[in-house]
Amino acid sequence: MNILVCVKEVPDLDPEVELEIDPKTNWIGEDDTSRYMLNRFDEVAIEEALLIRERFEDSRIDAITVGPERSQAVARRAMGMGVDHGIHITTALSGYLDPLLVSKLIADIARKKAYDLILTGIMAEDTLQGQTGIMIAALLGLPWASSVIREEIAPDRKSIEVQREIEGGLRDLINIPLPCLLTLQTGINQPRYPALSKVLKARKAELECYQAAELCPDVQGVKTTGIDYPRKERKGEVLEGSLDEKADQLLNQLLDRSLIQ
Amino acid sequence: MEKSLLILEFADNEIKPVSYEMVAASRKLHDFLPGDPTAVVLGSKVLNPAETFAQRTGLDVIAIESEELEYYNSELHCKLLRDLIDEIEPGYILGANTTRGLDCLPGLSVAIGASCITGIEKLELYDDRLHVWRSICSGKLTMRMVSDSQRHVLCLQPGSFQLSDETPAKAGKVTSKPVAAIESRISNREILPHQADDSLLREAKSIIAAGRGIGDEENLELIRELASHLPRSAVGGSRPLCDLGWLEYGQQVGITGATVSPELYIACGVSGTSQHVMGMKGSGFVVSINKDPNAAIFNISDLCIVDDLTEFIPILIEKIKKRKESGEPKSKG
Repeated sequence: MNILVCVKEVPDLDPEVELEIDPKTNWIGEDDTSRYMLNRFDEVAIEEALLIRERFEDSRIDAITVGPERSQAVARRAMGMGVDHGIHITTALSGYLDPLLVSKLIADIARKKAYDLILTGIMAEDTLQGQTGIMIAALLGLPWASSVIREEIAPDRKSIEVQREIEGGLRDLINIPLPCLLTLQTGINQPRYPALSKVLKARKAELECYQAAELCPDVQGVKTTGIDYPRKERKGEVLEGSLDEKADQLLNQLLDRSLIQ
Repeated sequence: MEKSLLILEFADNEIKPVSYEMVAASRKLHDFLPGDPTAVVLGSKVLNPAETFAQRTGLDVIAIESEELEYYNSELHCKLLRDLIDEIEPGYILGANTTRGLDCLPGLSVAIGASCITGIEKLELYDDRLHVWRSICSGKLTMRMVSDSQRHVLCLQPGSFQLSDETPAKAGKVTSKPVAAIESRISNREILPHQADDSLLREAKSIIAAGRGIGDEENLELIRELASHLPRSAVGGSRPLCDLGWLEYGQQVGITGATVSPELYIACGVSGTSQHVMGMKGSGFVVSINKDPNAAIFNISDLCIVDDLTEFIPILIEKIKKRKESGEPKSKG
């Protein structure tokens, strides 16, 4: 099996990190202290590729990412988890990238490589769009399934049976011929931590690099024109005082509303 | 004149409520850009539901009916919708931001050379162009976008638009569109039932929910203990905790889990992604405990406690216990 995993760099969304907004770029602010990480949903895609390679031992896994120079780190992180080879498409700009542009760039490379299976996470943690994977499949003319919570490749490697998670925890059971593209729902596996030896090796590994400007797809896409903090949909009364005082206030409010006896 | 096409959400033999929200969004769209909406519904038996929808909304509905469409199939949906769009040439295509909408619409947008925006919560006319707002970064931020394309696919977040109840002056017309034999590489055979039992959550009067912010699995004990002191309570949680195996999938609140509306919902260390919020926003009174002051969950909370839950909850439990011991007013026992 020749497998491609698409991975993305996202801003570190750890609750301890304050998210700044940048009205100039209409995107999340970037400065020297900004931290970036591998999209956690993509770790699930990497792990599934590794599990498939354990089942079909002659498999080879490539990881591809699109972004500014620094985003090479997420391709290396994927290699630290066990991916065989990293591909980086460098964009001149950082900040918001249109999913159609990213899909066209990845499809351009994937078209030349004859992958049997392309995997992505269900969405990116920053933009929450869930589009790139499916757009890659559509551009390549491959069948796809999103939100996959279980997959089983037939022993003859010609097809794959998948369960797609839908609303309320129900599942669509479908069968797709290979090659195809799947976007993976969390819970399908528990992503492993990168092994130190592999991380060290990945740090020195040579990546296959392309310039987005050279691939230069023509995209009339979508751009961001504003960014803001969301509005409150409920009262959102913030309790003040010591922990003790706050607990008293909460208890009184619950009693007033007969929510506690 | 700007035409729009509404791709109605059809499942379990009915047109889903989000389809009515699409009508509300299309009215807003055509307030900005005058023109006409048309609806389309695909499925194996859609004529009767289409009639009801046309009567209630006044919209003309194209019913694409075929035995092959008994189960959702991305490839068939895309092919049939592409043919229809080629025929009626709408500038705007509105669909649902559901697991099926999200499976089909980005692919459809590529097939018809349109742009695609998912998770849309609001439409806005700005600089004479239609802009949309959507949540990003676990709901901590919201962004406005505009499409430079000639044709636009917009996926509407369920619960974001509301259709007024007034009956239209005239019922819409339903046109049945025959489907020639179509082939698909994908075979869709059945829908498997929910794998987990979520009846405890659905029946609970109070739900204490845990999110990734609880930090360690052992802190779940605090959540369980707090729940034990509240009437008819159940412990729930966000998807990441179920994925980690800390909670059962039957305890998951959210789009892919249970949709609940208890009288009291206490969210502990829950960030407030739309995946979670969609499952609990109908709750009566919402209290959130989170040390991140910018957590999105605070935007849909009645009471916000910005503290470390491992410090706050033990104090709260002690106070509840003390009250019970002092016996006033009398607990029901």
